Amino acid sequence: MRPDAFSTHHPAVTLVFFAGVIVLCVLVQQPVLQAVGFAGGAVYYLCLRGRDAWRLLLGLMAAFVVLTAINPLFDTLGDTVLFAYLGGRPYTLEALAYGASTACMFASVMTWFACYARVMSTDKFTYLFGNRAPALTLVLTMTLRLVPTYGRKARQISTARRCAGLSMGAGSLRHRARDGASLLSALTTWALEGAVTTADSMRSRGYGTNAGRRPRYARYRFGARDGLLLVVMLACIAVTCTALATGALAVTYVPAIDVPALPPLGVAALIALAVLVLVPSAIDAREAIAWRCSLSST
Amino acid sequence: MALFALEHLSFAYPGAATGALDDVSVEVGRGEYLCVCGKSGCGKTTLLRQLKSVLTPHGTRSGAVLLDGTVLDEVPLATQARRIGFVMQDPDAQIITDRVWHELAFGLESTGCEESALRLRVAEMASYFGIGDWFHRDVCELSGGQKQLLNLASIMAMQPDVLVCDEPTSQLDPVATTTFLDTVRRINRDLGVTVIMSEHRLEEVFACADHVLVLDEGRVTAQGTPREVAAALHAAGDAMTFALPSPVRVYYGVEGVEPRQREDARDEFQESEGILSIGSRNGARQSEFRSDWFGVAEPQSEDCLSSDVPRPAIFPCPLTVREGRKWLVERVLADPPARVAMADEGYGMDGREMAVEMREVWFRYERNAPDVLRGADLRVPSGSLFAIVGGNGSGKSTLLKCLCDVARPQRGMLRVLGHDIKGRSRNDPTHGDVAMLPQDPANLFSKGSVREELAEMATREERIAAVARDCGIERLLDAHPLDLSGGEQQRVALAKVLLTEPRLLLLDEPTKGIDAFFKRSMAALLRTLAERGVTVVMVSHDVEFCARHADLVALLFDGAVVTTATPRRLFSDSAFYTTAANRMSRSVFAGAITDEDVIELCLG
Repeated sequence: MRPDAFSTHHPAVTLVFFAGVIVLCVLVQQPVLQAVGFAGGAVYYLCLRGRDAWRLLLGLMAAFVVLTAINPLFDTLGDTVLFAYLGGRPYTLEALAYGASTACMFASVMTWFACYARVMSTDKFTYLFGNRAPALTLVLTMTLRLVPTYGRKARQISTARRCAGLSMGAGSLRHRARDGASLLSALTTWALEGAVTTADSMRSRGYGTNAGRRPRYARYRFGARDGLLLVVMLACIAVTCTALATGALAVTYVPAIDVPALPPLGVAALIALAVLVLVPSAIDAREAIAWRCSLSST
Repeated sequence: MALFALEHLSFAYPGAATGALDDVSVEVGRGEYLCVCGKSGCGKTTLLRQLKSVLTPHGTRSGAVLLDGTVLDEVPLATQARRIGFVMQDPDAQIITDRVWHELAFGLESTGCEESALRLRVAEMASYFGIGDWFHRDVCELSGGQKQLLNLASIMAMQPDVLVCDEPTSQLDPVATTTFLDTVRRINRDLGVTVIMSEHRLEEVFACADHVLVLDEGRVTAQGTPREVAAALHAAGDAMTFALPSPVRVYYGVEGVEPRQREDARDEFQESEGILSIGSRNGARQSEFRSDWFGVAEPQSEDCLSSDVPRPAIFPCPLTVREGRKWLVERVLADPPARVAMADEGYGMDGREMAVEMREVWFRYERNAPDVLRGADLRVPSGSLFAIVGGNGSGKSTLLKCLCDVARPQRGMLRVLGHDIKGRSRNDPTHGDVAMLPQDPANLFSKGSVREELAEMATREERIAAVARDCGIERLLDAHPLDLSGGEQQRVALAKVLLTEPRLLLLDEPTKGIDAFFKRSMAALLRTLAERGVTVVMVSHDVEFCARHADLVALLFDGAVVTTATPRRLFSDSAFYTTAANRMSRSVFAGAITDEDVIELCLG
C-alpha cells in the first residue's frame, strides 16, 4: 500500500470526512459541484492506488456513459426530442441530462466508497464504536476474519477432493450439485469445529469475566492537527449544506433544463466543496513535497 | 507447595464405558517443565483440560486438582484466566480477532486492566516475541508458525504463572516447531513460567523437561526425570520407547535394559592394551577412529581418557545428540566394533519403468509471481517408495500439484505413468490413476460416518471391506470422521484415496500430526502398496521417516532437484539435513542413518 498521510489522522476525523463527502455527493445536483465531487474522489483514489486506480476509474467512466445513454429509454419526459424510435417513443435531451447527473452521482459515490475501503480499516471502525457496543464490534471483527478464512478453506477442500479423484465441476448437473453439496457440508462441519475452539479460546482468555468497562488497546490519539482539520471540514460541510437548504444550488432537468448561474452563496458552496474534497489529496501532496525537500536538502 | 497438584484424579466422559483418566497423581513445582506424553488417544488432552475450569469437558470426576493448594473450581474464573495460559492445537481457530495487535490485547481487554498497563504489556510482548514487524498485519496473512507464536504471545501478555500447551506443534512444520518449542523453553528459563506441555514428537521436548509423565489409556505408566522415565519404559518394554529420542533408543539398544557394568571390562582393557593401541583389533580402522574422534571430542572426555581419574562406571543415558555423540565415542573406544560402515544397498534405476519423468519443468502460479519450480528434473521408478525432502518454500507441494495435474507447468516435459501431461484434457479417464492424500486429511471428509465416506468412493461392498481392512479402520466404520484422532483420520483419508485404485499415490506430509506408532503402521501399509506395484511419492519434512522407509530420496532446493539417491547415501552425505542417529554417529560410523543401523554396528 502506498503511504497516505490522510489515513494517519484520527479515525473520527476520517469517518466525519467520508460521511460528509458521500452525503453531499448524493444530495448535490448542480453539475459543476457534481463534477468537482467526482474529480476530488478520483484524484484521491489515484493518490491512494497509483496506476492501479485507472481500472476502477475507467470502468466508472464507461458506466457513466452507459447509464447516461440508457436513462432516456426509461424516462421519456422532456421537451426537446432528439429523435424518436420504436414507432414514436421520444428520446429527449432533458432525460439525457438527468441521466448524466444521476450517473455522475453514482460514479462519485463509488469512487469515494473505494477510497473509504482503503482508508477506514475495520480496526478503525471498531476503535470508534468498540465502547458503545463492545459485543457487536467483537462479532463484527470475528466475522470479518471468517470471510477470507472460509474462502481459503473452500479452495483447499476443493483441490483436495479433485486430487483424490472426486471431481468437481465436471459431469452431469446432478453430479455437480452433489459435489457442491459435499463441499458445503465439509466446510460447515469444519467451521463448527473451529467455532468450538474459538469459543474455548475466548473463555480461556477470560472473555466475560470482567463486568466493568472493557478497556481498549488504543492506537490513536486525537491531536491538534486532527482538531484543526475537523473544524475546517465541518465548516466546508456547513457552507455547502446551507447553500443546499436555501436553494442556491437548485437545478431542474425536466421538463426543461434550467441551470441558473450560481448566486454568491452557491459560489461559496462550490469553493467549500472543492476545498473539502481536495483535503486528503492536498495532505498527501504536502507530505510528498516535504519529503522531496528533505531528500534534496540532505 | 507445588503450583499444581493432581490428587488421584479420575475422569470419565458421559456414557463412556471406561474412564478417560484413571487415578492420575502428579505435582508440578514452580518454574518446572513438565512433559506429558503417550500415544494419541491416551488422555493427554483430557488431562490438560482439567487444569482450567472453563475448558474442562463434561463428565464425572473424582479426586482433586489443586492450584496453590486451593481446589481449582473455587479459584475465580478471572484469576484462572490470568494465571493459567492455555495454548491449543489448532493455530487458526484459536485466534479470535482479525488483527495481530488486537489479538495481543484481547486477553487483557477481557480481564480488565489499566489502559496504560495494557499498552505496556502489549508492547513488551510484541518485542519479546519479535512481532514488531507484523504487528499491524491481518492475521490471515500469517503462516501457521507465526499464528501459533501469536497465540503464545497473546497468552503471555496476561503474565500467567503457568503455561499449558496441548500438542501445540502438531500442525506445524519442523522449522516452525523448533522455533515454537525454543520460545517456550526460553519463557520457562528466562521468565520462570511453569510449563506443562503435551507432545507426541519427543525429540525436542524430552531433553528440555524436568519431569516427564507417561500416560497410557488414562493411567500413569511412568513418571520422573527424563532419564528415569526412559529407564522405566525400556525395563517394561513399553511401546512408548518407539517415540523416545534417537540417542535414548540407541543407548538402550546397545547397552541393554540393565546397562552392563563395564567397569571391569574397561580396566582390563586399559591395563592390557593401553590407550594408544585402541582399536588395534581392527587394524587399519584404528587411525580413522582416532582422527575423527579427536576432532569432535570435548576436553572433558579427553581428560577422562588420558588421566588416571576412573571413568564413570555407567555412562548416563544420553538425551541429546551432543550427549549421544559423546557416549558413542566412548563406547566405540572401549569396545571397538567389527564394522564401522553400513553398506549402501543401492537402488537399481536401470531397466525400470518410470512412473514419473520430469525434465526441466518450470512453474509459477501467476504471470508476475516468481517461479516456484525452476528447471526441476525427476525420475521416479514404478513400484518404489519415493520421498521428496526439502525446506519450506522449496517447491515440494507445488511439485505434487503438477504430478496430479492441478497445476500445469509452463515449460518442460512431464510424463506421468507414461502419459504426457501436456495437451491432455482434464477429464481424461487416466486421471483416476493418480490420487493425492492431502496434508490435512479432514479436507476429504464431508459425511457423517466413516462408512458413508468410503461409500462415496466405491460401490462394491467387498472392495470397501478389503481396503478398510488394509488400512486397519474396520473398527471405526461407524464413527464420525472428525471425532477420530489425527492418525485415524489419516488412515480413513488414505482408505478413501485408495478406493480410487490409483497406480500413483501422492502423499503430502503424511506424518504431520501423527504419533510414532501410527507412523510405523502407515509405513507398513505404504510398503504393502509398493509391493503390489503402486508407486508412492511423498513430500515430507520428516527426515527420520524418509530415512527409515523410503527407497529413494530426492532433495529439492530452490525449485530444482539437487540430488536423488538412496536414503543411506543422501543422509550420510549431509551433516545437517539428516537424522539424529546419523548426526550422533557420523564421527565414528559411516552410512548409519537409523537407530537400528547404529545399534547394529555397535553390537556387530
